[in-house]
Amino acid sequence: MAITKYEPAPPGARPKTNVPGAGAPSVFNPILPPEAPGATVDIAGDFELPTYDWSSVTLGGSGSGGAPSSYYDALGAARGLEAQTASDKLDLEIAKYNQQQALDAAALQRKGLGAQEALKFYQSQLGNVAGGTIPEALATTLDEQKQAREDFANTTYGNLLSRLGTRYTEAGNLTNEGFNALQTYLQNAPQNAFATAPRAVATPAANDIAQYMQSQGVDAARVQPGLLAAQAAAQGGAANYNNLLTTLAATSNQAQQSRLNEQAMAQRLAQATLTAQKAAQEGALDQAKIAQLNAIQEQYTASRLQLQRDSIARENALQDAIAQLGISGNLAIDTTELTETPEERAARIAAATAAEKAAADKAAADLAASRSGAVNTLAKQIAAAKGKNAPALQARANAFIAANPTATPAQVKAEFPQLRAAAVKAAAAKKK
Amino acid sequence: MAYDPSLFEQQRRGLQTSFAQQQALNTYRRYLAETAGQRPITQIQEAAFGIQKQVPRLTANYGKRGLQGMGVRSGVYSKALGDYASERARQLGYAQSDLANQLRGYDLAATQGLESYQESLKDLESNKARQIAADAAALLELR
Repeated sequence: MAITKYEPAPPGARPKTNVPGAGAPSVFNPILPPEAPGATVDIAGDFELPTYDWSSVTLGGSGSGGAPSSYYDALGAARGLEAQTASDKLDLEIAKYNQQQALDAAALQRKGLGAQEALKFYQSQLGNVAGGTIPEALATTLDEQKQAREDFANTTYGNLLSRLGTRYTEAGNLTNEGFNALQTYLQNAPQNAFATAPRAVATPAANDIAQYMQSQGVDAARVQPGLLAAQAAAQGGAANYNNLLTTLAATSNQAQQSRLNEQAMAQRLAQATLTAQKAAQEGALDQAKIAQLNAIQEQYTASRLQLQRDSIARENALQDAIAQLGISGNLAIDTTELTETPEERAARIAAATAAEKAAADKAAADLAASRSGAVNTLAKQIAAAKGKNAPALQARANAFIAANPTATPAQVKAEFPQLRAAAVKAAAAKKK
Repeated sequence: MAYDPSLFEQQRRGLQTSFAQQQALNTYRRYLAETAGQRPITQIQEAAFGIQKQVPRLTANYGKRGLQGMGVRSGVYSKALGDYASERARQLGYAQSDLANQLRGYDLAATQGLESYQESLKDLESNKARQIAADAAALLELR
């Protein structure tokens, strides 16, 4: 909102008193305590010198002049409206400020409540993972899975072992059945071809013409050499043949006995082979079971380790988050629930503001009261001074005021002889 | 090879057939040999008083020379008839021995065939038992 500026009143003008706002405190003029008549001399009047450069002027003697009363009437009215507008603006700004304060307070409270809730959540979570603790549900699931897999491995092993035992018994029975049948066959089947073969019998040679020889008076004994030779040939052949049969029968008998022994040995060897096979397969099953159980244990351990790592990482993250909450300061926010309404809050703040304002006004009034009128006027004019020499002039004036708070107009004029002249000159220059 | 009784029965039938063929052939050969071997024996036996009439002719020959006859007993004739009888007995005995030996050869072949057949049958049974044992071991391996 733009600020309306008015030209300063001409020298000698008098204020108008019959317009609205006349006599109200101006935002541009400090409220000063009333001065006792005759106690002070206005050495500069109400000259406005906010934009005048004091660097080339000096204070001088008093002057005289005047302005139409209508000017002061208009000026007074304008200042009254200006004061009202400024007051409304101030109220609006205060309301806006209060509203913003309420919004900020609510936002801050939400931030604090959020931080507290986050802290509660983090702390509740922290209890579940403190010291690498594995969450119970996960640990239970993991244990159940491990137990189920171990049960499966053991059950499978038991089934395979039982099946192996059954197969071993079946194979043994089958083997025995085959070899027992062989034994029965060998014991009952004939192996006596040579033993039962007809033996050779040497047919005795006979002299079938012996009777004729006797009839011819020839001694039958003369045929004896031939008979003996024939007999020897016949007996030799028969004996050889019979000896051969005897030898072959003995060999056959030995072969039969060998077969029976072979059957018994083969049966024992087959049973031993089956037993060895069973033992080997049992060993393989044991190895497989051990390997399976070992793999299950390794996976279980790895899973638990990973869960512990995750838990520790989670714990660290929660600790970091809790630390971050502390660092943010959000936990220190007062989250006490507000019970006052916005109107009550606005009224409370307005009252506090009014009290501060009153205190400030009182302090200003006390200060002004502790000074003389000439000093107050000097202070007001000096405060509005501008220009490159203004700081030096203000320092000098402030030092004078501090040393002489009740200085008389004469003393002020003596200290700053050209002040009034400069004010008059500046007013005139501005009027032009 | 899994145990298959039909395969062993085939082998058994094969053995039986082979044995029967071998025995039949051997028997037939024995018959031929006996027939052929009996022929010289018969010839020797019949030569003395048969168509050849070796003995009467010998006696008659010595009779013509006055060395044999009614009231005549010469040592020459006695020696000649004795030598003839002895030689005839030896030849006959040898022929009979030859035939007997030859027939024993066929008998031995028949006995050996029977023995071999019996051995083969037992081999067959042994193979069956071994096959059953091997199959049982294989079944155990299958689990």
